[in-house]
Amino acid sequence: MLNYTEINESSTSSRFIITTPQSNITILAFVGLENEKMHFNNDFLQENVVEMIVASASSNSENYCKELALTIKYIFDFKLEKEEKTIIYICIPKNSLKCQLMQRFIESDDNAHFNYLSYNVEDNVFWFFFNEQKVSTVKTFNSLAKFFKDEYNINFETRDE
Amino acid sequence: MEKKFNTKGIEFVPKNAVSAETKLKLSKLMDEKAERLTKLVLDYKASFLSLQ
Repeated sequence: MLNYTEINESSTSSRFIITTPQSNITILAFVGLENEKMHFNNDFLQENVVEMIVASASSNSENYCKELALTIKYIFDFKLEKEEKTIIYICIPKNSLKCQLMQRFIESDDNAHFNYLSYNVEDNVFWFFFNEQKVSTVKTFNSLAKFFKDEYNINFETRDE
Repeated sequence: MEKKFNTKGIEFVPKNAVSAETKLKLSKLMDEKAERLTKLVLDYKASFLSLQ
């Protein structure tokens, strides 16, 4: 696993500075929505959702080597395991490198009490990850269904495999 | 055998076609997200340089 430094900015926001052996810097941030323009119009979501942002601060193009992916996953897991009622939200373009990274996280995850809801809209995927032992799946599902209906006028159905 | 994360997640797709208004809103959301990402990197670089 790679070295990282945690910077706590508030009770809901934190940043992790991850350094690769080649001294490339990746910033992993979990940002509470109270400081963001995004608003869920729903107390449960507004209070518990944090947005996950991954950004490369190096001049090299975005590259998720195995060790970097493992480090991000370790921090991600720790956050879901440790924190009460946290729902990690990420919205990214389909088929992007970040999208592939999230797919790898999901495929390799063995935490039986972690769950997620994903919403495919146009060229983007909205992911919401949570710990079922701390966050109600039904409440999350109902809150998100209402949010997408109210905000985007979209009703969803499950994807047929 | 322990149940895997990826066997429990639920994936959704819109029931109906997405309206032009929604597409515009989504586009704006992604633009704002890109701005936040850029700001995050610039803030980091500024704080890093201030320590030099």
